[in-house]
Amino acid sequence: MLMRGLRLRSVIWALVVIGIAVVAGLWMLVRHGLVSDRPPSRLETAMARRLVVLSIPASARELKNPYATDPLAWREGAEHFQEHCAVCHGRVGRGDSDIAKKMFPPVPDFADPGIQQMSDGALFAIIQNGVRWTGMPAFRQEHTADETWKLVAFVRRVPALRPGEYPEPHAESEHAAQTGGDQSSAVAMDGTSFVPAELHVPVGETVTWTNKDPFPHDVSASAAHLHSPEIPPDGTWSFTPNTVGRVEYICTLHPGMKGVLIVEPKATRRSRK
Amino acid sequence: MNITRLLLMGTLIGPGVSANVQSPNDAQIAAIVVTANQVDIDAGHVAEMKAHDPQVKAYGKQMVTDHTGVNKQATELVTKLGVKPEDNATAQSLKSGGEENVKHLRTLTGSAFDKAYIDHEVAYHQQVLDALDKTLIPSAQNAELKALLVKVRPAFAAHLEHAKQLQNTLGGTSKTPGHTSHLD
Repeated sequence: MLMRGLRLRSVIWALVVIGIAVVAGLWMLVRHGLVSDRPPSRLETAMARRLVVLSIPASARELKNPYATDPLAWREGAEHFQEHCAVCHGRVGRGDSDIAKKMFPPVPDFADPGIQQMSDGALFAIIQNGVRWTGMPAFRQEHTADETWKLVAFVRRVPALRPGEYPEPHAESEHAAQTGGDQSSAVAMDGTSFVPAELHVPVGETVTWTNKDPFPHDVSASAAHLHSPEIPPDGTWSFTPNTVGRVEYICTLHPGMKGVLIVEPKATRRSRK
Repeated sequence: MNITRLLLMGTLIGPGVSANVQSPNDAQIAAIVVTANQVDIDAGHVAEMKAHDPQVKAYGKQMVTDHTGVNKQATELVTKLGVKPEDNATAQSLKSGGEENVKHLRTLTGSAFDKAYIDHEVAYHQQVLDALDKTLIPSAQNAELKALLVKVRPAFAAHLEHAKQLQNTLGGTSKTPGHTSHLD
């Protein structure tokens, strides 16, 4: 009896929320059309999140993460995240990728309490099935249940993540394990120059360029597959050299802007620094 | 014809910067910087529409992007510093020179347009670099304003080099007006 009462209450609750959403949605549609050029209001966000969670069957919502107590699972999830998710969700899941800047409904920040309040099962279901009317695709085909649970473990870890305990993009796992994942090199694009203009990196180490100028630059070398798209102001781009050697590159937009990567054998890393 | 126009440009901007305003204050510098960028944005818009050679078109587009970016940053800084850009003779002559150029460009088409646009870009960036080196950077009082000018200078130099390359590929042999200042 009690169970039935509860179920009835949640159905009524769902209908009320859906009813309000439909009315509000129609009103928004009449007022603004279907453009996605501005962030949704807080009400819209709250209702949308509520709907997403309500749309997941309770049995799925209540599933527990088998890796909940595994202290290392999130690391594997993080690597997976880099390959499939970071392009939109940002490198550490804070919803700060270049793509995210222009996406509405917005790419969520995993540290946001609204996300962390969701159950493990709900996060699992969202990753597997996607979210309609947002940019979130269903990853059931690409991710096994096991991988998805590790991703959930990663999402849980995001709010507490400290810089340096996170694998660099594209880094091989053993490399991340060896070094604690804090090996990366940075080049600034500042004052229409690459700073530093000459950078020594061990092979396999990721180099990240950050554009600090108020206009776009790119990074381009005739050889070595080093071709970035236009990197907007405040944008970044990463590249991991896989062969030892000297790579001269330029910004094709400002051809006087030159840099050199000197990719060294791995063994030299310890001696440097 | 072209040479005369460019020389005229030289007399418009050159003395304007170095003589009329011997030592502009920060508010005047702000107005000069914003106008200088705007003039090149306006010309870039025309090139985006009218350029014949795709490289020239791309150059015009890039001028719009780059100078818009610089102006955005300059405007933000000026707002932050509470400096109100103050109109002055140099800014005015930049503006009228720019309007003159756009008016002239609108009468041209095809490769004649490309050549006139790029020739003007070469001369213009050279003038602006001279102004930066001789007047604007030395006169800027506020450290952040000075730093911004120093930071964007290499972009102007890169634009000049880029325009010169295009001038060569377009087969233009026109010389830039009597400028001996060397860049970098």
